[in-house]
Amino acid sequence: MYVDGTDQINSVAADSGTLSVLAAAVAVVRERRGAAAAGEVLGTLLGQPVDLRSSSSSSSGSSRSTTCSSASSPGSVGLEGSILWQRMPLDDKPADAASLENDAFREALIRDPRMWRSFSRAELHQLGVPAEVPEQTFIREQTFIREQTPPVHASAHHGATLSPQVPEQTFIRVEDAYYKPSTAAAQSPSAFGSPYEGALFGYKPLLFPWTPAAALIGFFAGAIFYGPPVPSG
Amino acid sequence: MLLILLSMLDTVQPASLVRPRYAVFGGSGFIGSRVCKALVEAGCSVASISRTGKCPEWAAEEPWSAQVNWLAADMLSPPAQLAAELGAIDGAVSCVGNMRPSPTWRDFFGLHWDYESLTRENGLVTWRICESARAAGASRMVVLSVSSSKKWAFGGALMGYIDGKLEAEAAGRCLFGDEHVAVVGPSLVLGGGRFAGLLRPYAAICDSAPIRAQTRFFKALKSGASSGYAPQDTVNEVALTPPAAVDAVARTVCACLLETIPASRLASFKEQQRAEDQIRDLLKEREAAGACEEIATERSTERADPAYGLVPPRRPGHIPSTLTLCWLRVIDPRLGR
Repeated sequence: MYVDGTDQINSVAADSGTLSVLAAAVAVVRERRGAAAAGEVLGTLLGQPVDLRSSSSSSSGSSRSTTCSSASSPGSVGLEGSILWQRMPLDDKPADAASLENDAFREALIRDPRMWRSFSRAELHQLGVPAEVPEQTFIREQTFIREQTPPVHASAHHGATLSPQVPEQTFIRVEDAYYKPSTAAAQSPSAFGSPYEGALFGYKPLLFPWTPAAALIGFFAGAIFYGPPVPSG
Repeated sequence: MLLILLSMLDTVQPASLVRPRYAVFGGSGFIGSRVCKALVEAGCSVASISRTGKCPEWAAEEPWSAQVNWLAADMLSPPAQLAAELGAIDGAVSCVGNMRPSPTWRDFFGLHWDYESLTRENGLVTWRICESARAAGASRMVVLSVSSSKKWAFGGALMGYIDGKLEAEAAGRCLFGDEHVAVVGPSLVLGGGRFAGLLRPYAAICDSAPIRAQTRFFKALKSGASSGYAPQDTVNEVALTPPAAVDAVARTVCACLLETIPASRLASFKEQQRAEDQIRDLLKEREAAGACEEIATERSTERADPAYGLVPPRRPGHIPSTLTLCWLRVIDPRLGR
């Protein structure tokens, strides 16, 4: 979603951003939560899940409720959470990709299965993963590896591949799914060439010694205009 | 059994108390503080995270500011640490940004912007913010960026700012996915205490029919004829773009965060965006083609120059501004093409 420019901003603010509309949206979230909390208590007492929410669509629901709902359906148990992500330069990928795998590293990824989990250099070293390139480079370069258990396999095996023992690791360029636009090349034609700023490159008028220059020129001008007349002939 | 059930239900928090909690990064700033205000007034629980961790002066006496949790934190600190300070949240807004010039003295009139620091403070910081928000459990993210016309028109000195903002948008999309991130791109933002008297006359001028018409005319002209270097980029798309009121921007951010914008309106926005992008893509292609020609000419000159070895090395990332290129054209029509 991209709300671009003053016209779109004004129209959104006038239609969808008024205090009453915003307050209504918050009230809907509150109502859902109140119902969900009551449902949890009832479910605990009755021994079965109870959903008191009127609508099943929870686009603005909290992450907590999303986790609960995904955990309750065995077919899609933690499908998102099962994807292990590692941010590494593609050029650093060893020829034998399996060498990136080791138990410590896998456990670390499972403990914290965030998509763009970043590791410190020392941490990678400790995990036995080559970490020659600093993390700054990971962010700036377009060379990433996504380490993923493909969702197709995960759904086919009904969670079998979700266990850390059977990971079918594939290395996919992140550009396939997520990408960081190379903005410099796209926006600045001059990034291709043009070595200097332009005709005024290096011109620092405020650093120029204007005072001695004016005094010197003034001296000569004064000497010419007010000096003794040059005898003619 | 029924009595036990009823007594347990009494312990459930009433719906009015389960308020959604949102984090506003850069909440002490010009736009961030207004976002905090709008969210509090809508009934949300708000945490503001900024370097100072203080309520802005203009809001110190306002009743809503007492309901905001003002936190001081370094945005570049590890995401897990920041998330722990923040606590559980439902969504987050990134209002951080910096386009201040570098304090050091350099080049023409000494005024310049440092590319590295601008990309770091607009891009990397937002990466960290998104990571922290995600670690704190946020399911929705709103990134405050710039309008596409600014992205297109700003070049040269402010390239770092634009690149940083694009990086910030990419961070949101990568970490939250396209469905759960919203980008708000204002142009010039006025109102509040900032040039309070300027907003109305300036907006009236920019919104007037002749100005709108000539902006459209030049856009059409550019799409057909210009090479993209022309100065009307700056004149029309920066100076003559109507400014946005800060309260409108804040309310739009809240609307994106609380997802109150109807789908039909979003579809029309996408359609407009596509039309704009078509023109810009065309111009980018022409620029790239022109730049390739420039490189070819330059390289052939370098090869022919016997003193090539004495030429100082090229400075990568040093980008001439559009204005400089125009000056070059004035000085010598062969240059700057």
